[in-house]
Amino acid sequence: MRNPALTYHASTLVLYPLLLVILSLMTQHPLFLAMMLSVIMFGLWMAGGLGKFMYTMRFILPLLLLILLLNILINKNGATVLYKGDVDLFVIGKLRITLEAVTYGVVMAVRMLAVVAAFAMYMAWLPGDRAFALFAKLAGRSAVTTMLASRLITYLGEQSEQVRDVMKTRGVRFEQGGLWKRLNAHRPLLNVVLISSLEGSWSVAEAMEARGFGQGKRSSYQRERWSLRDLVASLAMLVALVTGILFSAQDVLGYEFYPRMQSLVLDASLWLNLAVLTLLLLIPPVLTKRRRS
Amino acid sequence: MGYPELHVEDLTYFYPDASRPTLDGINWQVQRGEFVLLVGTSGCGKSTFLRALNGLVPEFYGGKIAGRVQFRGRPLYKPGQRNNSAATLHVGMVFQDPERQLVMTEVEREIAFGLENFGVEQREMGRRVAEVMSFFDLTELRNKRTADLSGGEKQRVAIASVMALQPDVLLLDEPTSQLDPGHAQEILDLLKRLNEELGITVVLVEQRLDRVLHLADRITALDQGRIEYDGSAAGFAQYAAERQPDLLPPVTKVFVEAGSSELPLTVKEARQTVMGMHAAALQQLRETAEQARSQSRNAKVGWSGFWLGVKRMLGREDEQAGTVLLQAKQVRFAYPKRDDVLKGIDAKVYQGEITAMLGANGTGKSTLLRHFAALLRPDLGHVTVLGTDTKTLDAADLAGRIGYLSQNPGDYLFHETLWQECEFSRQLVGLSVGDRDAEAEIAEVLNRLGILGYRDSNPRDLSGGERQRAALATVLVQKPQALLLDEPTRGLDAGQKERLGEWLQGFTEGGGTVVLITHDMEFAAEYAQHVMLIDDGVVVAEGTPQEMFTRGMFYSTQVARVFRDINHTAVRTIDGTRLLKELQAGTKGEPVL
Repeated sequence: MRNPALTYHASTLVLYPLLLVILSLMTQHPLFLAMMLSVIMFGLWMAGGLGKFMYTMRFILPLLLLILLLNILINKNGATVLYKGDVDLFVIGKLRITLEAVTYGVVMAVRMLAVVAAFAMYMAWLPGDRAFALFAKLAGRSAVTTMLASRLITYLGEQSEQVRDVMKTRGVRFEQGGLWKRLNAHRPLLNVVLISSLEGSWSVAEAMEARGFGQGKRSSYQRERWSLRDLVASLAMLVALVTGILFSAQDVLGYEFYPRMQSLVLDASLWLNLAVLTLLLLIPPVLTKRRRS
Repeated sequence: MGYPELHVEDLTYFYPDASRPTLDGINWQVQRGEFVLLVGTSGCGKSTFLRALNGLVPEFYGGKIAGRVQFRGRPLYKPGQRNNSAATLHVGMVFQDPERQLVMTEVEREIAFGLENFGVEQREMGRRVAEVMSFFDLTELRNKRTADLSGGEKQRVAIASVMALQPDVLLLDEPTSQLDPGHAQEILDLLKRLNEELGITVVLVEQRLDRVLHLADRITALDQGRIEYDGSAAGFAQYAAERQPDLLPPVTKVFVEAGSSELPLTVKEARQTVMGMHAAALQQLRETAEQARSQSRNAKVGWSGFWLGVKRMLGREDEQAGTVLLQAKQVRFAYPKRDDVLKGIDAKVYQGEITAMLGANGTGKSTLLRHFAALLRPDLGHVTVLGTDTKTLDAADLAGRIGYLSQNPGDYLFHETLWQECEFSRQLVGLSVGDRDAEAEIAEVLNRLGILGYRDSNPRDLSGGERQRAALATVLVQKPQALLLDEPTRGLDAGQKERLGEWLQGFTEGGGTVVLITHDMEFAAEYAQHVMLIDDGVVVAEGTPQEMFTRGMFYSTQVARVFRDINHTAVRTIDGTRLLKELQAGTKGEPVL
């Protein structure tokens, strides 16, 4: 296994996932998005974060399915009709499900997945302490907010199981009934977890203040070193960003879904552009050092 | 003589929106190298006072403050001034909850955190981190994630990270209240070393006075924001006996209740006092105890013992003991990717009894309790609750019949008012709300727990002990037959513990059943009828408190330790008081009772 955290300066470890998020948001082309997602997954795997991400997928997946479902129900564009209903539904009107709308929904879900995965990659690549040191230097007290927010996310995960158990013993049935009833059963759980995590964040903030955080200019226990690898990775990222902007200007990253989807396979220049961007984006993870045993 | 280390003059403090002061005209000082114990009942202002000594009050909390705090003759902080570096550098603070004071994710970075905040140069930081890790024996944990540490290790890291700043004064707010006795002792030993070997001035807030009295040079007692006593430990015993008996350690309580003029504060002093009593009276007590013991032994081999033996052979001994409400039979259980926590445990809980489960952390007590709540199912063996195997049950099926209280009362509280919280609980099990009967039932539960006055308060705004009772109320309004309580005495002061214990006794007298996990031997001895010692996933010993706390030297109460060589059944305050009275009578030449 190779470890990006051992290879790069903290700023490189922050900028790379950020670049992947930007590029994912710039394109809605299915091939480019699939490539972005693959690169991010590769990066996650390099840092040993793939297993943890797969675990969190069980929370993300319902959201992605919701995006897909809403798009299918509300979006009536597209020429290839898969289903046409006669009943006039509240708000939605008459159902008209098209292949194009389904594909568009899937692509949007993939885009969201890529953004979430890039965030997971950032967490796997950059240890929390180094991220904190970096942000504390750059942003001072804002780092507290960042840290407390990230602590809140961790806390939510850790505490939800414990609170869930308590709620069960009080008689809350999370698995019974329809979707609405189940969502409603989760409401008290979310309330408790949110209130507790805010209380926890307050205590941490107090402990930080008691140890002098925000009193003046900070020093750093671990010196971040800028290496040749950082230079190469940064250049690759810069070129990838410029290429992405150029592609976007030339509409290479765009894709027509409506009225009919454009062809994906016949355009040779498209495949060349895709290969260029893929290679550039693979440079930072490929250059990482092997983990010391 | 130089300036005192800390000098507080006319300190008065109001929390934001408070109409009454939390600290009220405090004048106090501490000399260099002193070890001062700050005591008082919950809500008396101890923690606030500690925070005022390093500037967190009012800088972090806001509110109104008057008076001043000086460090070696110079103001420690100026009210309204954002930069409190002098206060933070000279006066370090360690908080109660080890979970909520660690900032970084790795041990080494955590220790360096404060140094980074003060811009300490990298080379100097390396030296201080190495020194501190060596002193606190943390070198092996250097690269560990703080989240993976035990409670005791976390608290050690928290103290180490404060000590890396090389403060002159160390303030500690109940640093052992969340720890088991072993880890708590480790922390107290460390404090002793810091005070004796490094000359650090220590101001410690602690509820369990029996653990710390021997460490203190001076004791300061607060009540309603005022200093009521400030002086020696011996004087404190007299003060507490007259004014605040809740603050007395169990061993002193025995002497107070026996009307003794001597008030020892530690087991050692108490034993010396008892052993110094009239030799003949002691001998007579020993003989009486021995007679009672042999009678009880003979009784066991008599007819009743014979029948008990027969019943055991037939597997029907429970008929004598009572109805078994909860039972674990040969239960084995492991959490995913971990070793077995329960290793074939057999345990029975009888109706109408308080059963206390003791044992070190990680031995399987909470896991067994969660099995009784049907939150976990055994990998092997069976758990039966109210006669039903939990393999066919969901935890929600037991709601209203089995009440479960986890270690964190905050997990139960999220409504705007305590009353709404109770109504929510009742609705979950299909009980009515809003009608006259429902209102009367909720009011009765809140009243019995002493929190009816807070019915319209946000339960999150209550103090630790009140919060705990609020969480218990949400369970009790469901009218359960049995209560499963995971460390219900954690963080409670002596008075709160006594009220909880008495309430639980009342609950069992009314036919209820209680299983509780505790590290508090005194509490188990006073209130439980059945005690189980769990170790390495099995019950290694069980019996009455008298049987359990007089056999061993470590799992025993202060009273049992004092009377160890004299009487083999004394474990509770009332037993100790009776024996002491008998001894006193014998010493005076009166006939022993």
